[in-house]
Amino acid sequence: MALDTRKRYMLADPTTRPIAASFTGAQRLNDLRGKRVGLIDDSKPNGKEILEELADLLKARYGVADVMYHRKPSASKPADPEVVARMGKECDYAIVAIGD
Amino acid sequence: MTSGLKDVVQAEWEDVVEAIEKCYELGWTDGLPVVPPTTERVQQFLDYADRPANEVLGAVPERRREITVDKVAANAVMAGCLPEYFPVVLAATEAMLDPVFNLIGPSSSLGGAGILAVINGPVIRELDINCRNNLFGPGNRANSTIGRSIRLILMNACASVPGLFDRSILGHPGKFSYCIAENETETHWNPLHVERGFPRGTSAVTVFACEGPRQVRAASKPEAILTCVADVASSLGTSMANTGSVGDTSAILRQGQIAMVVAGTSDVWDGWSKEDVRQYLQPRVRRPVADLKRVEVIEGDVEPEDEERFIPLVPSADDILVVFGGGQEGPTAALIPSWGAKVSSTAVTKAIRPPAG
Amino acid sequence: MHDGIHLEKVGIPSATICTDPFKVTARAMASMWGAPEYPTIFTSHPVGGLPREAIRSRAEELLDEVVAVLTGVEASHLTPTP
Repeated sequence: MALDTRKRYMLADPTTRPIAASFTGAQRLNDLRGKRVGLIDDSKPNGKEILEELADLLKARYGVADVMYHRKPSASKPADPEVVARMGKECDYAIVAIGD
Repeated sequence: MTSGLKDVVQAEWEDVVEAIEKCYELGWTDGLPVVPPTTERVQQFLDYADRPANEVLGAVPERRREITVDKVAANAVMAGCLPEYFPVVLAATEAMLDPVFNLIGPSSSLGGAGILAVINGPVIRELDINCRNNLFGPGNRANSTIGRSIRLILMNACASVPGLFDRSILGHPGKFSYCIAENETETHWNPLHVERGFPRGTSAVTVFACEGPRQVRAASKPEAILTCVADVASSLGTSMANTGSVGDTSAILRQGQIAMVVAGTSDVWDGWSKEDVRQYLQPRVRRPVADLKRVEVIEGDVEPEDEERFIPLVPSADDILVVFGGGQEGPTAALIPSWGAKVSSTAVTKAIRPPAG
Repeated sequence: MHDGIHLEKVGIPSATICTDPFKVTARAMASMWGAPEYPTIFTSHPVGGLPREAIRSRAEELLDEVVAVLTGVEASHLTPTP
């Protein structure tokens, strides 16, 4: 007769779970005409260039009025919260380039 | 036994092989077998360090994670640590979670950093941490398992899962384990932690996000050794001799830090302090603009004057970490470039809190 | 991802452009921030190293999607500037 030799153990879970986050997206815009766009460049090669090209196209075709440009000091860090807050106040929408 | 551990997983097994396989199944390993983190064993670690399970050591805010003492203990158990090593692992974790270390960078980047831990102070002798031959391993339990704990903490507790949030293109073997101690007793040099502001009688750990160690063999005169080290540190293709990710800093290149581990006997360095070593090295770790243009690090055609225009790769002498250690049979050094720019991650030193009582 | 999501949190619509190899990572990051539906725009890899003309045509390719993400409407439904 086979004995059940299996034993039970409690293991401490070495993993973590993210702290729950709630997210509500911002209200979309009806029209881009006359609006100000914020650009965040992560400082990787061509990040700036692609944002400039997009901004030019938005100006030419959708009447976008103005640009606020921010280059992050490091691609490995989130944008400075103060920059994000200011962009939120001073711009109507934003484009972020994650280069590579 | 009751324990303060909240986050537990029930498991069962018949023998040790099944126990190890269970941990693989749970996705908790670095690819090598681990010691199953039973609540009893984890509790021993918590008791030894006398730290509450739910004490928060720091956070990885970008990944919405808080790192608590119990998680660090579970990973240290899995790495094969003894309870006595746990205070060292706790200090290393605190150092990695310091904002200037910017853990999110080296633990996710394509560049593939290992986290080197350099241990200083009385704890080296107390825990028999290797500071001599085979400094970078293998063969010593403390070095191997403390270093391995760091990687398991990154993978399990900080979500640096290879392929998901750890996007390293190549990585390097130091990502398994990368922990050394300084041979403080056989040199006239001040230990690294003392240079970084800690009293000699305390123990401390320094973490540094970096590439692998490059062994440098040289003649037995300080100038010759340092010239070789400077040459290696000035190589094209390191993360420092590179552009990008420097944003609006005034530097054209990334400008990082380097660690230099000096082996051999101390008498070679008679009359030299660590500060002398740094002052000698810093201006010599550089590259002409011409070379950087040829390899497309800097844009533009090579102008004649570019051959004589040099760019430093390490911004100041203080960004050179000098450690004495390794075998003494002959002058050899290891040169370790940082993973990236200082703005993206800077070496951090934290004191190791001795266990109460 | 982090920046785009935080711009939404401070109240302005954002379009984040990321290259294809980072799809899984970007989506996992967005989910972690409670925004699994965050409309990241993916483009082929690499963007770094491309000459300026290629960057210009890439921007041209991405434009409609950028506009759609910001306005919530197909670009063709908006009146371009005469």
